Amino acid sequence: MTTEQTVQAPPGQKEAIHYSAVAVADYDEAATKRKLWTAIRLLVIFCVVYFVAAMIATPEFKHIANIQVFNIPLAFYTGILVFVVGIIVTRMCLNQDQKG
Amino acid sequence: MNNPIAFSILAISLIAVVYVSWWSKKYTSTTTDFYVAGGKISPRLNGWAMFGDYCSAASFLGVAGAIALTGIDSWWVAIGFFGAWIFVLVILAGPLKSSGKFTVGDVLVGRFGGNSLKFLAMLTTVVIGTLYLVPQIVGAGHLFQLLLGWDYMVTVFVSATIMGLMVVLGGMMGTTYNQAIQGVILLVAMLLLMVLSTIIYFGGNPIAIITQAMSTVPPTSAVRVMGQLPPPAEGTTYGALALAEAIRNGFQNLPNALTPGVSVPNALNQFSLVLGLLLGVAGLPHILIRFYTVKDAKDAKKGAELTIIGLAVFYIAVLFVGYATMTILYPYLIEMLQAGQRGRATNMAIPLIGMELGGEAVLGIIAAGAMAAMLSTSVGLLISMSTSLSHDVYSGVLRPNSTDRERVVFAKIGAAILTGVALVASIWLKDQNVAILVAMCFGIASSTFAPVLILAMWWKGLTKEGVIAGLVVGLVVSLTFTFARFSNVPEVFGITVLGNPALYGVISSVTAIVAVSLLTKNTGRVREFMALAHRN
Repeated sequence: MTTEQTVQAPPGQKEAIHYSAVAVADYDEAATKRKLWTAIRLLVIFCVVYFVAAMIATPEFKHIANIQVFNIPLAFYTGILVFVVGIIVTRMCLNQDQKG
Repeated sequence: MNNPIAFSILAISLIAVVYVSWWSKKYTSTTTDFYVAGGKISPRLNGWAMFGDYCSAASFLGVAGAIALTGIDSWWVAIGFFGAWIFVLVILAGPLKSSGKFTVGDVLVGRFGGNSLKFLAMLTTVVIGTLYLVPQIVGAGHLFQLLLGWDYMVTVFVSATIMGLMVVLGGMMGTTYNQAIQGVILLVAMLLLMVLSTIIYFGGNPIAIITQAMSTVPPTSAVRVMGQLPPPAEGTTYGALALAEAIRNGFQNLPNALTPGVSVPNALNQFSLVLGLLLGVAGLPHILIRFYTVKDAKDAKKGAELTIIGLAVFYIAVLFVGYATMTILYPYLIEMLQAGQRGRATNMAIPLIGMELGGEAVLGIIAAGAMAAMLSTSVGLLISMSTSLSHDVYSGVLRPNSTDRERVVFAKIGAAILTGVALVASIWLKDQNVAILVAMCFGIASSTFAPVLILAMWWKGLTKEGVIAGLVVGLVVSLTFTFARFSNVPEVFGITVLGNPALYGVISSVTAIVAVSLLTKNTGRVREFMALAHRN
């Protein structure tokens, strides 16, 4: 149930904060936890690709990034892969919202 | 004047920007309109506006210029700029829109209340915004210098004045339309450079840009061995390809432009940079404020999707344009490096390639694109800072009974003063690469607002004292290491200064937040806040 709600000012604060909010009774902690786990899963997918691609391009691991694939270093492909995975994760995130 | 046609195109685009701001004034009658355009912006328009707001001088000039000078390692800044949006979309955009109203401070005050948080949020917003404004003024100063041949000091003063005036003229509605239009100009300008360079210099085959880069030693490496090259035949000079070939043949052990790990000092530096970039947008007030200009959380995310797709296309094009610039301007870039003008070479490589590809007309379009990047970002920064000054501090703490007009006047005076501060910093940092300057701001943002906001949205155990500790510690640590970096101080208290302050800043901030939260009890109106933030 959506209601207009005015949150009372805490002690020491001069004005109340006005929000268009759901009633507190509607707070679904389990649903929030599900959202959090979904977000973490999506972030893990992206972060693995992102950090692996970034770290192989350092002096310590550059022998990996320098592996030639079709005569072009792997670093080029992993860079492009970050963009591709990013767009896929974006779509997955919005699809989850639509399902929710 | 050096380039009258290019300057005319730039002047027309500036007049158009001013007209849009003036036209939109009739839609700005209240402070809500001024701050967030009444929350009436469509997701598509907001997506383009976020793209324009985000693609600053760093993206348009700095990254491509840095790739042209150093090769593929510099692309990591662009990849990080992109990755940050995935982070924001997944973890922050929805709850941020649902729980805030005008500023980042609203979110924190919404949960915890209190004037101290309002003040601290404003202070952090102003620090990040002012530092972020510096590279915009530096980039604009270099651009005007190129177009008009004026002294750098004069050009930065003129650039800063134009940026300050933009805020006085328009509120968020005008800023939104300008940012959206400028976003389109930016993308078109970068794609135009890619297409023109591919057709004119690489036989219409973009892969040829990559293969040529693999046969080229980056100018920053080449400049070290230039003195050992045999001189060209008497009365001649090396052409771009001949010089690249001579260096490649003469010094086969040198890396090529696709060799990774050349300009990255070590893994720790790289980790700090990419961490700062990934978390940075989650703490950039001028980007976060844009989520308040739409109706609800779903619209906020829809807009972000459009921005993300645009950024992917843009930053991939940046790589190709950077490499094409390296090939086409090779001797010129080396010459500038030899003259000690690294900052100018990096920041002006893109306008110069525009001139090379299509003369003054294309230079004008590129200059308009670059100026669009700087103006849209600067105005976004000034709006977010002035909103925070006016809403969080002036009307929230100092004068709660002030009128709308007084609040807007206060905001504009604050914006003018902050522009002046940024102007002074721009003179100090004139030879820095604008992309690096922006990356440093990401480091500060990722050490302050980012952890605080993320934990405020998702952790019930977060306390008000934890937020204050996190913001103060993150700000102090990241600023200390930022200034140490710019002052060439190698160590602070025995800790090595990295290229980006994020690693130390994020760890200190998160540690402070968690430790203090576990020791204190004021979790604020946690159930009300969580219900609000996660209502959709």
